[in-house]
Amino acid sequence: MATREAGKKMIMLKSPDGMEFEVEEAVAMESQTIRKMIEDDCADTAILIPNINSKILSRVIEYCNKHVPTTGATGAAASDTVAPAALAEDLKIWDAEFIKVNRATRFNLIQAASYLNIKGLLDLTSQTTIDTISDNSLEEIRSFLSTKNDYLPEEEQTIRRENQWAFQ
Amino acid sequence: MLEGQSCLISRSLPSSCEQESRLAYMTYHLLEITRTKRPSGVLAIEQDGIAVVAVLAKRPKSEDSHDAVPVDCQGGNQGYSDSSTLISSIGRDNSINCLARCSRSDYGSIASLSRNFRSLVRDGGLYRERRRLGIAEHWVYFSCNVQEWEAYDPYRERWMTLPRMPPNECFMCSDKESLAVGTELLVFGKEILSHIVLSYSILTNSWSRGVEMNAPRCLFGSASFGEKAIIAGGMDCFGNVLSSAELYNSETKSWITLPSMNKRRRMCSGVFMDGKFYVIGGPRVLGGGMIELHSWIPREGPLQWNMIGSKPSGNFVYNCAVMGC
Repeated sequence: MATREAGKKMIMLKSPDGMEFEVEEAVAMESQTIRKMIEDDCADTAILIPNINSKILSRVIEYCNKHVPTTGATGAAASDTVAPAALAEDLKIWDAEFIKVNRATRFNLIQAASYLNIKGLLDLTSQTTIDTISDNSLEEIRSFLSTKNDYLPEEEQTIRRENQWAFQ
Repeated sequence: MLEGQSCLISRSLPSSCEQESRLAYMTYHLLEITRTKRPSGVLAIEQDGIAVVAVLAKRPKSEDSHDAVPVDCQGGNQGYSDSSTLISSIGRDNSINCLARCSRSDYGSIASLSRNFRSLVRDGGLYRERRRLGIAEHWVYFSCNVQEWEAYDPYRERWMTLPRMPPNECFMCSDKESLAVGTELLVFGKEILSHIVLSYSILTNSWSRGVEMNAPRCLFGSASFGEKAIIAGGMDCFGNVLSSAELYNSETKSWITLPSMNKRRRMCSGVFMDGKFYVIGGPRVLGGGMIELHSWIPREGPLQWNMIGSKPSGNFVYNCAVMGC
């Protein structure tokens, strides 16, 4: 791991279902968890990413690829010619498309972002999840969040009354 | 720890309070100012000709506040069993991380989802996570009538009526101060001979007796940042003007005495700005005196009050606000 070549340094990421993904080190280091492994010299030829299947891992890599700072490896040009605001806007549009996934995939992405410690991805997936909460009925929210109502019917009435003040 | 949060209290005192017991100031306004989801700006509320103006402090976005609050987000805190699921399949920590991003006004619905969601809302865990993530929404709490408090949510533009304060005639008639800290609204007043604190909790939507300061007082300056607040100066129940200051932690519900200010002062105003606590105003000298601005930096080395500026003035400083934009 210690050698630094002139070109892009590549890292191999392995999912538990046996797939291998070769990514630029800079891209992999969007994950603070992987960054730490690399910096601590714990990563040799390949890093096994436990609990994240190849389908989710490939989406995560796709996200990191898009979000890795454009300076450095890809050759400095991008950030010189494109205004930062335009870049940010472009990323926002890209993110909005990226997160158009079903609930199960989004929850898997949350877990992956959390484990790999990728703040931007965790923000995006979490925010998308809670955006469904406002303006929906309790039943709908329960369904979005895959949570079960364990209140007794009369108990739920009381709880709703108790929390009514917040809605006015 | 200091995340650009502050809290201003604006008092409508027509004159200095020589006979404090005779004066019953019922109108206290309080404005929580903390880190904000909104752009910096000025928020003003006017009620019966008394205006409260405060500034939503801007906060450096990149700030890393990992050491800010002892958040137990490592799971399994405070008696939750492993079986307690929130948003199923993403785990408890990720669920809390998600829910912390909701609007404060959604926590009523969230508590109604299931027992686990309700205990999460009521034990304050979501608000601890919000502090860790640097998320805050600023609601205004104010009182225009004895025992009655109202709240305003500027994000949803909604007015709310809080439950009435527990009846207490002495308390009703005494001078009062108020302070929002963490998830509590503290109202300081007097009961016959001693000072008492009433605390309204947004977690339970109810009033209870708060914890008294080490050196109880009224007419102090105060400001809050997150779950902590500092009060400085004021007057004890014998009419002595104080120089001492105390720090309140709403998570532990405890007061710590801080080093005293350089001067005794009462009816002063406090504010947090850039992580520093400022006290402005203080004892009036007949025929004019000096306006002095003192500050204390909570995180730097030995605790010390510094006078950062002064100028002659014929009058007492009744109100002050600090704008950070």
